[in-house]
Amino acid sequence: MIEIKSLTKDYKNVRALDNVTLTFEENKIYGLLGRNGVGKSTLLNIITDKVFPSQGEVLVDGEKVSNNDEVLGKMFLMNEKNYYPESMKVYEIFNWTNEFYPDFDLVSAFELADKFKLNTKSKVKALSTGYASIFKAIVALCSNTKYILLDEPVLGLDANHRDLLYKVILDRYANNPKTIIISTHLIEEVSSVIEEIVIIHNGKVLLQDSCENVLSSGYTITGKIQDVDEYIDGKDVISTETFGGLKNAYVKGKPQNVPSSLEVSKLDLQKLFIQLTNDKEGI
Amino acid sequence: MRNKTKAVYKYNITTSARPLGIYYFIVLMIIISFAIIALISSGNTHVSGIEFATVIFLLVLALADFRENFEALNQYGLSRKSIYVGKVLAFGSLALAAAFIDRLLVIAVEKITSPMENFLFGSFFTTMYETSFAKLNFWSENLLALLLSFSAYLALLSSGTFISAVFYRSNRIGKIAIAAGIPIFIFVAVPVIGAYIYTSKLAKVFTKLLEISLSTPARASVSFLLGAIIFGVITYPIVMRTTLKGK
Repeated sequence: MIEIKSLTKDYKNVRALDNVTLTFEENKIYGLLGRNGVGKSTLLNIITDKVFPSQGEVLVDGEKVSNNDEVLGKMFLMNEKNYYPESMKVYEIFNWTNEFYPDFDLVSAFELADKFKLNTKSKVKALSTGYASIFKAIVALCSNTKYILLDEPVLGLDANHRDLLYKVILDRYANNPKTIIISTHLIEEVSSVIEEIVIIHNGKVLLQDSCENVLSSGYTITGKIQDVDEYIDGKDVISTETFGGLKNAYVKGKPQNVPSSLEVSKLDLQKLFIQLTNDKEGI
Repeated sequence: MRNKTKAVYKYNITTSARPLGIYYFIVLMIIISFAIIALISSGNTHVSGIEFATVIFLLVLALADFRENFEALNQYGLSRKSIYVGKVLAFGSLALAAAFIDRLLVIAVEKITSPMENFLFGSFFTTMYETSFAKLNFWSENLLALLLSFSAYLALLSSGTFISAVFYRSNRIGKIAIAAGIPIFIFVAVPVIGAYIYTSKLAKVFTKLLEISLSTPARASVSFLLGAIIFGVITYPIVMRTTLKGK
């Protein structure tokens, strides 16, 4: 279990994280969601002792992370940025990861590289943004550590590769359950993979709940504008959108007495996220 | 050695082996080129200072290596302590290996080119301390030259790591100050201060200190080793407080 206790991180005049207290339990897939610059990467870097907190502490399986090789060896962070030597080839990095992580699955790493058509003889600096993400995600997933932290794993990936990566994550999780924390902007896509949602906003934890609870906390209602407007009158509406003569309304609570002219479907996670993290920005 | 430290040591040695190999290939090519020139011409050819070239190479290696090495090992989930200990052990081995190779090169080239009267090949340190080395037999001379080279190389690797660690931690202004400040200090400030204090009491103390610390190969070795230890000790807290920088 990863316990984050009263964590604060200040960068000069900016407070990146503000008294964050969180727990990541074992064998669950978490979605770490938040807008740009809210402190997601900072949080993951502090958890893995790459950056020091200004206040607070991180415990992994009850032990402090700072300068603890044993604890650090239980985690693998796929960083959004590349910190591998750029002149090194992909297969060399696979081999070195195998040296530092005794449970690294070298065979699977090469198999996955084949699946994604990643040339393992390429130098890191020659990889496109998408392939750099694929290569780093493969290294992380094959590390076989107890905790895998993925910071923007689908950055630059096309739809096919994103789909394949989600399948690989789920497949490896099904065969060998572990804690996976996925930090991403692509909320709707990742909602089918994650079990728990953590939303960070302005350096604070805005929401931590199971994906199921969050999605069942509301519903989407679709129909003719007038019918929808009549139905949502007096209800707790998250947001609405209109397409031609049709209207979608995202409503909190359980659907009750829905007229047959309206269609009810699951809540849109992305809409909920936007509503929760909107700072009333104008366009 | 703990497993993680062993892996860090192996990583450092492997990543340094290639530049070291390229460096000695170039050195060998230069020696061969000059030997050929001596063979086909009648003029005298003098090649010396291999240890000095190695000193410069190792300093540059240490200066260039820290950022990439620290970031990669950090990515592999290693503690700063393991990164530091692994690097110290690797640099110790690297300094020893370079000292051995340099000595072997000096002995081999001197032996091979001894029939060539117009080709002179000399060691930087044995030339510098000619009178001290002249009194020694073959084994003592080489052992002392080896110790002197090793300690000088270690001191340069250690100081290079210190400078690059401070540079990595610094902000933009700090980086500019280090990049410009070190050459200005060495090439401008030191001669000016030297000229100013030349006649003072401080100058006499400073000259005496230099005399004591570098007057003989043995004393110079001890001084270099002390320098390596001092830089190594002050680098440790810097590494322990270094965080991964954004790119």
